[in-house]
Amino acid sequence: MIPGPPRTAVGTPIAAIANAVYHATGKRIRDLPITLDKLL
Amino acid sequence: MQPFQYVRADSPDQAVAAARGGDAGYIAGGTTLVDLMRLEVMRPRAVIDITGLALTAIEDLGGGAVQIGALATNTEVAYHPLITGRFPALSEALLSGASPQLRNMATVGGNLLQRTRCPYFRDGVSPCHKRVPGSGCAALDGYTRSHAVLGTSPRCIATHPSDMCVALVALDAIIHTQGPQGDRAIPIADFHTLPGDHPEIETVLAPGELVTRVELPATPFAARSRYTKVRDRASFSFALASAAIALDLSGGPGGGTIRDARIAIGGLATKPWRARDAERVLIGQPATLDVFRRASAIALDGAAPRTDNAFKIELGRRTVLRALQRGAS
Repeated sequence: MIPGPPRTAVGTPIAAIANAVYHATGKRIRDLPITLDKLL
Repeated sequence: MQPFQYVRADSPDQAVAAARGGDAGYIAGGTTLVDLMRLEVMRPRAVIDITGLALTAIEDLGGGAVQIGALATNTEVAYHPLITGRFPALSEALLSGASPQLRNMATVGGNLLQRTRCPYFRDGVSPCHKRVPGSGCAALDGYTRSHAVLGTSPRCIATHPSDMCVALVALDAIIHTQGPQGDRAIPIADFHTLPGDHPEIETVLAPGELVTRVELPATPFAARSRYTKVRDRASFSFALASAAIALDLSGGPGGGTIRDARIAIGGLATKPWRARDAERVLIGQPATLDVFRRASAIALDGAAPRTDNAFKIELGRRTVLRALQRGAS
């Protein structure tokens, strides 16, 4: 079991990737995984 | 793995003779056969080693045509100047597949006979008409994201996995074989069969018939050919959709009239798929985005999706469009 603070590392990159996808495609994907079919 | 007899052949004649007993598999790079034998999905009685045969050459046939030996590796073909210069779609298709290690082992002959990646075929236990005819098809109501939407049958929706074969369809390749009945030449479009009632049969090859070489004829469209592949990862991944296109244009880059065209589709069909109706939309028309859109819009006509793969129809259209745009630029 990982204690609390290190777990911030789990969510942050996901949000960053989702933001990058939004920047690249204009599509806000709010459920994981971000797959190609959601971007069509 | 099931026990099997191992035979090393020194000539195509010997190899074909050794396969006469039936239920034999030729082994070259082994990148498909060894995997599937370990999984016990394929259980040949005999494995005939053909790696010693003199079928590795890539030769200029003159007049623009090229011949590739069945034992030439994917790597050798992909980087050969005769291929990169005259048949770029074939080079692009080969380099988009697998990994460098696999491309160094895998051969052109084996690539033609690649088996599907359908997980229900490969798991060795699910009902699968391709693995055990008559047993059923777990894919029909299973997870179908990777499955075919074109050329399917009520008994099989497994996708043909090869990139190379899609490029060969766009290049009008001819497959030369040697079998118990002698030699023959098979146009690539006739080489693979639709699953229909017999998904266990995937090509027109007779038992023991050996692929010896692939001929790439000189065509006015081969030089302007491209392969575009869309997948979940940037490398080492099978196509969700791919397109090989070839264009013969009367003008320079980005302009002129389309004199002839080829469109082949991968990742979406049970065999390497030629979109002839879409080709007809292009011929005689100017090479413009609008014309390419009209052709790609009908390239997937006849597609029949299952639960998880309907998105691949639109993905396929866009992949064809992207490939055509790349070809014209």
